[in-house]
Amino acid sequence: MLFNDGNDDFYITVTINLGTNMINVYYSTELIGENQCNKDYLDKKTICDKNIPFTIGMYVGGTDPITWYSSLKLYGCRFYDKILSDNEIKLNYNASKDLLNN
Amino acid sequence: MKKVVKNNILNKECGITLVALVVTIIILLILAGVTLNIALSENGIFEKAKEAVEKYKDSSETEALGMSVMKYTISRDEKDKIGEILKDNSVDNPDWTVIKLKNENKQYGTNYTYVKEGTEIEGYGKAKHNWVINYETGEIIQLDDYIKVSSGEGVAVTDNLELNINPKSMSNLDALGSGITFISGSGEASKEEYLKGSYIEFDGVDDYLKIDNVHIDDNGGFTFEIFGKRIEKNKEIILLSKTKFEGKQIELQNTNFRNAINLNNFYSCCMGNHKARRFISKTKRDSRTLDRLQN
Repeated sequence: MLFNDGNDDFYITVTINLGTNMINVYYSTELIGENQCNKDYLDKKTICDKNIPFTIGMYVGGTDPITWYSSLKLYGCRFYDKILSDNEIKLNYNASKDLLNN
Repeated sequence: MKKVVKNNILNKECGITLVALVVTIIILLILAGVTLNIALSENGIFEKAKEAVEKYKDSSETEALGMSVMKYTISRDEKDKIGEILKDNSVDNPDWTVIKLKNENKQYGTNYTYVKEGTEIEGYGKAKHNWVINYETGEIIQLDDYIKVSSGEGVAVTDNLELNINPKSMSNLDALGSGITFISGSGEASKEEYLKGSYIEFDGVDDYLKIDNVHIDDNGGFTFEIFGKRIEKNKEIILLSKTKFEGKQIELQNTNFRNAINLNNFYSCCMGNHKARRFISKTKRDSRTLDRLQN
């Protein structure tokens, strides 16, 4: 499988369409998952509320809520206030991939 | 008899009653309260005086930058420009650097220079704010919420870029950037704790990044990019979540859509609104996390 290939590097791009609730996930530049999400789970009000921070590497979840943390080396992360096209995702990937080799 | 009457008259003329004294004291206290309020309140005289001083300093800084523009206009010598020269992101400029305003789709590149806080300004001293200057038009703009992006930072697309965290370019910075905090355990960690050369390390125990004030337009959508290396094989990488912090408590604001994002249990992205909001204490959740890791 894609993520069990022994390669610890990851380059993930997630696009979230708040109009259609469509979520696309790219690994490097390859589209590996797309799903139309239930509106209850993709709450526009929460996502656009600037007073609720985004977190990377942690979330609280589960029926018996616990906090989960990531164990990783972060080489970069970005937010765009738009949905990047396939071509733009490729441009960014090609510009950034060398950072992972440093 | 005549003497007694005279004394009574004198007493009435010269003394004040206890009631009058109390009323006078109350009036004085009220006046003192009003005066103190005017002087010390949030919009009081002292605060206004402080604001006036700040405005005066700001205007002095703007004037000093204006003098720099005048000097360049006369000399046309590039050495007279203050700050870092910016260049648009184009095929002509392989080494480009732009300043992007957050929350606005606006950027400053070619023809502008970037004057960072602390830059020495001739005849003024060190800049107390961040600025961009157009030496051709004389435009001087104070920067508030912005990011600096350059070709060396692995970004090809800058339109609508709201946030760019690049550890490699952070070694000369004091912090991650406005609104970005690295949390370890119960509080903010120092740069030395999380910045390991060209990456930020998350220990898998209690480290995470908290990012405030990301502007997401509710009419469209957004894109999130993240890249790095897993430290522990088979351990999930939590890409993104949205969590409301309330002091030491966390309001569950995130029901995940892991079926969409979680692939082989390595990557997850959580967002949305939990239907049944619950509160758990930080101590409780931390102990649970430790239990889970120990098991």
